[in-house]
Amino acid sequence: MSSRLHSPARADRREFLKGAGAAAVSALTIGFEWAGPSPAMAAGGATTLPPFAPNAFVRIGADDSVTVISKHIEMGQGSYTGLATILAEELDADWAQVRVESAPADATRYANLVFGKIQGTGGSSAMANSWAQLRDAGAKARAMLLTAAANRWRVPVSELTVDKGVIFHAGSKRQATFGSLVKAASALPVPATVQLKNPESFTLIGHLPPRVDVPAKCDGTAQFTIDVEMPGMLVALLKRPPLFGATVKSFDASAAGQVPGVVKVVQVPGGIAVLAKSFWAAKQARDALQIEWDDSKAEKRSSAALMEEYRRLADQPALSARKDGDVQKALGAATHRISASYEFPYLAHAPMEPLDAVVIPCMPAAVSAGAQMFTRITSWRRCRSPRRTAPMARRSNCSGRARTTSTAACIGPCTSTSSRPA
Amino acid sequence: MATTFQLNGKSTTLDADPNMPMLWALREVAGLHGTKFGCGMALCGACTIHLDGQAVRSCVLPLASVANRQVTTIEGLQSPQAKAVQAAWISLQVPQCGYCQSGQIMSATALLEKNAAPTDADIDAAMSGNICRCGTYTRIRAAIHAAAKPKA
Repeated sequence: MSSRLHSPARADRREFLKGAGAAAVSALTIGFEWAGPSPAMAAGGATTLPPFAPNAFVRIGADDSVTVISKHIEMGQGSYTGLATILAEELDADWAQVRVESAPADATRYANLVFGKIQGTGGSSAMANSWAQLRDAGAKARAMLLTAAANRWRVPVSELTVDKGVIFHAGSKRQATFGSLVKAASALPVPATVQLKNPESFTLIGHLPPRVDVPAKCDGTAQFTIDVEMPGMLVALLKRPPLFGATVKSFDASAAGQVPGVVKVVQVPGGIAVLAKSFWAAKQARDALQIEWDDSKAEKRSSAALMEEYRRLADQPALSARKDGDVQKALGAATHRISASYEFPYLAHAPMEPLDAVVIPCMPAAVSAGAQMFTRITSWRRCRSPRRTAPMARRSNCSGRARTTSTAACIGPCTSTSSRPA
Repeated sequence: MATTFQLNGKSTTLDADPNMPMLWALREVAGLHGTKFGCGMALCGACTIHLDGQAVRSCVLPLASVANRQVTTIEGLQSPQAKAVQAAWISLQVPQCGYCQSGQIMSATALLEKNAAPTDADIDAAMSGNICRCGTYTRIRAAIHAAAKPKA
């Protein structure tokens, strides 16, 4: 029982360690390809110039906006700001014009270089694995904008300077904003190599620019997963068993089905799901469910019993992650020995936003959720007839895009449980 | 059944179950998503709104009970105290994940509208019903003090 409960985390840990060894190699081979305009730009920007998007991590608009594409989820730890800082530094962007957009789920372009071929956020790896990649991306975009300006003015690139999104040529007193060079820069080849800045000249890195996500979180406009609304969308609430491992023995949905707005009550592997036209209807119906649970295979140990089990396991020989010197010998010869026990209980992450996801049922399904590992969703075959759940979801929404609008759905190293539809 | 009340300064009529909690009337009927659902049991404070200037938990407040009264949500904050709170929140970079912050700002604003110079104890008493999973409490307290200071 214990091993079943804990094995997912252990597997992730092993993968993490395995991936870490490959990081030094993969960080140097950066995929630097034309990403194309994002679906949002393509849909809404019909009257504007296509943006300059020299790689998968930055898009510059004719309006001078610099959009950094974050491959990592923002959970409040500041990844959006940190990642944008790296790229904007090498680009010499104006911080006031920098915005951040979540990357789609795409482990080819947006893999965590520490984890390997998966897109994920965790283990304090976001900044470390993005450092070289985003500096390079920003510097290459800057080089292309400089070349575009040099070509326009027929002057050497070496005579140009950049400050806060504006390129200057001192000799002729000419200047051009990034936005005015979008079209010309887009026609240029991406340079193979580029000179990165000397850290002594950094103006953003190490200077704590204000967080990009803070203003929207102070006026109610920040959008979390729970705030996403789509035409014809239904709300599904799940009644889970009160004990881990318990299953549904029988249920009576007759009262739940009477609640106005309820569309369907269905048994799923995680319990009983209520589908309704609103959260409030689904909540009332869930409360009205009569369920008899089968606890025969459920986890019934107390917190104290779990801790006892942890202590017993901690006394057994462990995997050796690293071996330097002779610990026993050094301890034996030590003049001072300090002994301490640290105990961590089995805890729920308990984010303020209830765990949630928006699913657009098409093939492949598009999911918007706050999962830390969002290229590892593996259980979709369980959704046998997904179209019934949202008949009005339009095909055009089926971009396969997994946005991470939620910042709260998963805080801490919860991996496989949160990214799977339960 | 229709319920009429003042929502963010405008007369508003919502045609919905009078027993529906204001949280859902605001989010699903009025379309205002700034007020957040955390626990649904008045334990976390994420759903805090103002009812006639008082900070209340909208998740346990029936729609019928706001008839002919003044309701303010994060989207409708206008008072000088509210603007000072929001400015201090940005200046001191208070939010992390941000999910609780609408409720925090509503409680802090209600406090400052009644008490222009709250002590730490006043702040703790007024804010104790608003939980922050990221633990931004020290910045919240500092931001309330900053918002309380008259502008030079």
